[in-house]
This record gives sequence, structure tokens and C-alpha cells, in this order.
Amino acid sequence: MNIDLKKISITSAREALLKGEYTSVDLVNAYLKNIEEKNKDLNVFLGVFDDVLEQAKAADEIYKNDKAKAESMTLLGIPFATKDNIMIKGKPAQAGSKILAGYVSPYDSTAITKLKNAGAIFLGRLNMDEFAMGGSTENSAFGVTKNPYDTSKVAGGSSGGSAAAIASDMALITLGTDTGGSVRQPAAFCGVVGLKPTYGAISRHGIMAMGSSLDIVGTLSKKVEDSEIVYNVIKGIDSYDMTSVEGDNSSKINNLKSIGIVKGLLDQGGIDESVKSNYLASIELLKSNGYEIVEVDLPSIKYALAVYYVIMPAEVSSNLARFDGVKYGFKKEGNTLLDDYLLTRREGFGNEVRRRIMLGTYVLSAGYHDAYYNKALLVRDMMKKDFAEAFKQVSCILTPTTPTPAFTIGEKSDDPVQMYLADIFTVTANLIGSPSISVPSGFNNAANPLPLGLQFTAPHLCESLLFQVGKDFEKMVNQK
Amino acid sequence: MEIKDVEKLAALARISLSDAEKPKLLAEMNNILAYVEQINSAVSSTSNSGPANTSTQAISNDSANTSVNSQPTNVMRDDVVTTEGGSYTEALVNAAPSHLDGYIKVKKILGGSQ
Repeated sequence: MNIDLKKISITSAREALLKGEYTSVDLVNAYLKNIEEKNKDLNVFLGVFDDVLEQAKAADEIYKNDKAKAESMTLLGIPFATKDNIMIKGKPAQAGSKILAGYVSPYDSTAITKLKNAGAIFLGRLNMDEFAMGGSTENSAFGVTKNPYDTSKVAGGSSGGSAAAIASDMALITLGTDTGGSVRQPAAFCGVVGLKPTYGAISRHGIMAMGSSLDIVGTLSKKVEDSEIVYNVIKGIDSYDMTSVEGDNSSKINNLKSIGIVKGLLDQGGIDESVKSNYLASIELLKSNGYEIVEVDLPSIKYALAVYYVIMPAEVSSNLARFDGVKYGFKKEGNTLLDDYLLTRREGFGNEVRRRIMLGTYVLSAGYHDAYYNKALLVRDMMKKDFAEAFKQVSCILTPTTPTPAFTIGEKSDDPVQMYLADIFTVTANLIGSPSISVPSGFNNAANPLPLGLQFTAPHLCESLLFQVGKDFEKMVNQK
Repeated sequence: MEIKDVEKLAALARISLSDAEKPKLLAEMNNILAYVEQINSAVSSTSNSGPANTSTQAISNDSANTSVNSQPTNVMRDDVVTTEGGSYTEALVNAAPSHLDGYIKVKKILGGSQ
């Protein structure tokens, strides 16, 4: 059975499975073959689960024996892979960190429970920056994930494995997490779709915490429609997550065809020429397809990255206090209990994680708390107000997803601030809690052309608006 | 920030540092702090000095609220037992690097050499 994984979608795979054109075992084997062939070079999977074929056989049983049930299970037999910080009961998960060596998830995250109920298959766990801190997977304890379009380039991060898996056909759909752009940035670098939903729209139960007021599970896929299908399965209120929400506000938006662009956005430094010209061309493309482009003023947006690099480390320093060599994973023995903590955290955490824990400790400490943390909260508030004003005029706001295409491995690893600047367009959505999607928008002119992405950000719980605009834009790009 | 501040933070964060890595960390943290310093110019123009109300950002989907400015609301559940006692004990204790007879084992903290 020869299955063309490049062209496959959830809808087409489901049709074929229901008609019996191929089985879930065939489909899973096609992905396993790709993983076998490509993973050595790209370093996408940290591990393939040993029960993958059993999962597929169980799905095939339902397809064979209970057609009605098979039809009702939206994702029956569809091969997924998940970022290494998403818990699947009985499977290893270590968030790309040495400090969780040997850890096995004792329960399913809510998103996984919902996917299991819908019949999804889990192929394995995917590489990431340690505890989702980074923009290139260079901070993984397992080494960098390479970009399938050019192996000298990063795949982006922190969900680099999740993006590269889609781009290299190692899974039909993947889950990532997005705290400041960790789904959208690697999606743009690898030429795939990346969705960061509204804060709270998908439960954080069973997701290893990084920045609790920013974290959200996201989906990565070849097409917008696939992300839409999966989002609709895993969304919803969860009694295990007190910040979870549900609903659809899209119907309340009456100016769907009106898209905002940010005044002065391209005037800031550090934006690659290829990104600028692709962004401007995308605006023209939208205009010629009946969209109205409106310039909006978001004066506080220029502070987004600075605000993010105060609030996020503050939350990191608190969330990562639990890793002390007592409760899970790796432990380095010292002479006293305090020595155990000090040595375990020194050897278990990589440089970036230690840097952010210390920075967070600093901005929360007595004497600096007012100067940094409280100020950052105030500016975050200003940003929410600015966006609320803008959303009175437009249905969503358009920016490039990243300021540059995928950068070279090692290029930014010695300069944290340079690395952080890769998040400049993405952190805003996390700070204001809005849903945001990155859709492939073309390529640069390099010898090995690298993909670029366009980012749409909408008001809270307007995911279906993003899917509609995203699918429309996808069509325009394909027809160009 | 100076070296002694880095040492203080490392102690607070329960991370031991080698002498060699302290100056590097100091330089990196000073660079990051210099960058985030710009938030001061964002708020200096406003007179608002009270605490912000965004310490959590749970989102409500009430009424016609499609703004990004909704106020935090907590999702609560009934105060009833949902998990049978002991059902996760073994899995959680076994996750600890050091455990004995169903207990997590740590070094003694009283009566030490100090």
C-alpha cells in the first residue's frame, strides 16, 4: 500500500480508512518508515512508542467491526505525535531536560484524554527546547532539531520537533505548546500551520508548566483544516484547570473582511528584507481577494518583548521550583538535603533554564518587584486595552510570524537577547491571551529556499474566525 | 547587578554555580535587564501606579464580550472527592528517585553537623 503522505489530510485519511482503501496499520507503517529514514538526520523524535502498531490494530478493529462507532470517532486511526512536555499515561516525558530523566507520566493530560476518546494514535514524543525555553531547540538536552528545508538551519522552537515532524511527514498532526510563540515560530520556520488558541481554550492539565498565565497547547499541521478539526476535539472547560474557558465569539464579529496592520511595524530594526517583501505581498494578495486592510495604532506593542521577558521568567522561577531531585527524575547526591537540591538543579538544568530561573527570582525579589514585575503587569494591561480598541475596527491583526526565516544553527546560541528577538511578533498574543495562527506565506530567495509565515491574531475565542481567514489565505497562496 | 547578586540569586534559586560561570551569567543577565528596562518608559507617562489586575488572565466569554480585556474569572468545581484515595500513590512515589516502603526518602534535616 503506497500512501502519499505529502498530500494527506485528516479528512482524506478518514475517508480512505472508512472506505477500507488502507488501514490504520498501513498508515502508521508509512509514518514509521519515514521516521526510520529521516530521524537520524533531523533529530525530531526523542522516542517512538513501543505500542504504536497495537494502537493502530485496535483502531482497525473498530473500522472493521463497528462502522457506526468508527464514523463517530473523529480521529480514529489518525497518527499524532506530541511535544515532550505533554503527558501520556505510561509514556516517558521529560520536557527535553536531563532533570526528568527516566520520568514516566502517571496520568493523561486532558488534551490527550480527549484525543484518545476520539481514536487518535500516538507515534512518539518530539524534541523541544528544555522546558519550552528557547526558539531553536538548541536548548534541548537531546541536541538540536534540524530544519527539513535546510539541515544547517534550526527548525525553530520551542516546539521544533513538532514543526519538523509535519514538514518531513513523520506524523499527520502534532501537538506543541506556545508560551511566547513556541508553536507559531517553528511552524513558520518549517512551512507548516501553527495554531495558538485563546488562553484557557485548551486545558493545561497534564502539560508541564512554564509560564502559567501564558501557556497553551497548540496544533501543527500541513493545512488549516487539520488544526481546526483537532482544536474542536481538544478544546473546552476542564474541572482540572481553573483558567479554562469555552465558547465561540466569532459570530459576534461583523467586519470579518477587515484586517488590521500595525502602524510602524516594519520600521523597527532587525526585520529581514525577505520577510518585509513577503508581508507586503501578502497584504496585496488579501486586498485583491476582497479584504480591506486597515492601519491600526498599537502604541504599547513595542514593549511586548520586554514585558514578556519579565513576566515569563517570574512564572518560570516559581513553576520550576518543584524540580529538586526529590520528587521526580534525575538526582545528584550531595552531603545534605540542601546540597542535593543545589547539585541536582545545577546538573539537571541547562544554561537557558538556569538563566531564566535566576532572572525570574531577581524580578520577583524584594526591592525589584515593583520596578520590574509590577511594571510589566501594568504594561500588559495597556496592551490589552490597545488591542481591545483595535478590535473595534478590525476582525484580526496581521503581522509576519517571525522577523527572519530560520536562522543558522549556532548563530544566536551565545547571545540570549538576540535569540529572544525571534519572538518579537509572537509574544503579544500570549500576553493578551488572544488566539493566533501562523499560515505559510511563501519562501525567501535563498539557494535552499526557506519558508515564511504570516500571523493572524483575533479577539478571545475567535478561533473559528482564524480558521476561516486562514483557509481563505491558504487558497490565495496556492493559486498565486 | 554584581557578582555577589548573582551568588545571592543562585542561592535563592537553589542552583549551585562554579566560579567560572558567574561572570558569564552576570554579563548575560545585565544584558537582558538592560533590554527589559524599556518597560519603564512605557509606564512613566501614565500616573497609574497601583497594582495591575492582570496577575491572572482567565478569560470570560460572557455576553457580547469579544474584547481582549475581559476580567479574570475562576473556573470552580464542586468540593467533592473525585479520585479514590491512594489510586495514584504508587505511581507518584515510584517516580521519586529515592523511595522506601511507599514513602519518599530524603536526607535528615534535623540534628545535622550544623
